[in-house]
Amino acid sequence: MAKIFHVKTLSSSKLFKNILVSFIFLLTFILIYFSKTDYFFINKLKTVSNTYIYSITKIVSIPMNFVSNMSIQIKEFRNLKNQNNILREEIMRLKKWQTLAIQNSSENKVLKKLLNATDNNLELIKTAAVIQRNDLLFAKIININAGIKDGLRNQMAAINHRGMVGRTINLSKDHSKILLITDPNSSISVKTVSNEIFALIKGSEDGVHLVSSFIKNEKMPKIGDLIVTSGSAQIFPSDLLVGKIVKLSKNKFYVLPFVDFNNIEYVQIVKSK
Amino acid sequence: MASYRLYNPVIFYHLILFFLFSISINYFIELKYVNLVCYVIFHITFVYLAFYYYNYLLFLTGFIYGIFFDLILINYITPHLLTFLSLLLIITLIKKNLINLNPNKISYIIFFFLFSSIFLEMIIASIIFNYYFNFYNFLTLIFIGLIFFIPIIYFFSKLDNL
Repeated sequence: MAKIFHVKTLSSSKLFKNILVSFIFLLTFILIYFSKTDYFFINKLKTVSNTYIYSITKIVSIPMNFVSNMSIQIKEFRNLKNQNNILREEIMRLKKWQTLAIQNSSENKVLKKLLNATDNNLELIKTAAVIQRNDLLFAKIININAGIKDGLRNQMAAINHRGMVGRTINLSKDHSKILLITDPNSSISVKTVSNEIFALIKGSEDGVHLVSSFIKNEKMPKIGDLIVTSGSAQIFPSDLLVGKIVKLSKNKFYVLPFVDFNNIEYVQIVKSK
Repeated sequence: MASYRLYNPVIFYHLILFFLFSISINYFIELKYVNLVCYVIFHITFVYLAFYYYNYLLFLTGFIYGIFFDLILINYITPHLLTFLSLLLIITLIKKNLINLNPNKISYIIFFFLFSSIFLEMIIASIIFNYYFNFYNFLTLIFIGLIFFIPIIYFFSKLDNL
């Protein structure tokens, strides 16, 4: 009796499906492999996500934005009377300080002339508004409305009136991402104001504090010491305010940043002169 | 007959996915939980689509959403992309065994997939990209999933029967 051979054949649609799914998996592994290295295609994808996806999704989330703004306004309106009293007291206090500041400023000028000292070492590149935030679940990243067109480059320092905010990453023509200093992958070199202790700090587990990842000579600072950028890594300008030491543990110290990351509306991109 | 042809729930599900994606990636400080809720419902919708409306093109959908979730939330590609694709692959492989189960049991399985996908995303992000596995965030997401799971499944079943 002759054997019957069954030959399995794939229909063209099934073949297409299999090829597509295999291609997607292949592409996935290629993307994952190159994701941590700055290759051209990954950078392009990041630019697309920065520019186009943001613009499209912003349209969809307009109602949410509206509700969010409304709730902020209602809150502010409720606190109006309290804020008014606080501001009145602050004006009184500031007026006293103003007189003192004017005196000090003129003294400072004279002393600077005597010492032949230069002014601060910061050059303002651009003041930009925060247009999107993604600092809830994983990375601590914000998007700003300034990019290569405005003279921004990778790894520039972003500050606000309170101190260090983060650094620029993934720039596109009109938009950039700022990796906040509270991100666990953001490492910055810092020192105490007294120049005694040098360390590297990164974002801590709670997403609020910064924690030291390396301390030079294992010298521990004191609680209450002010932390500024050291400028030794040549990424950030030196002496930018970062925060205050609030907790010490075994071989580690915790810093509370001066910047209120829930209330960032504008940032200034600066570099060393 | 014409209305049957015009109405296709898959299109609605894809619109829902896009809407939830848009809200999830735009964090509003004042509406923190809305973001988290949308993030969780996105996962429920995706698993639901994979179970009841499986099509090979879902791999493409998972690929695109995975990439952009990763790039926007983490800045590197891997956790969401890998999770979405492996989720689809597992569902494709075990679907034949699940077809005879009653809807309640399938709902439990969908919830299990939701739980494991969120867990997998967070664990991959912590292993590969040094993002701490924030247990509080994980519990919050699971708690949100528990609250919204039944209403969402009920809503989807109504959408299917339209």
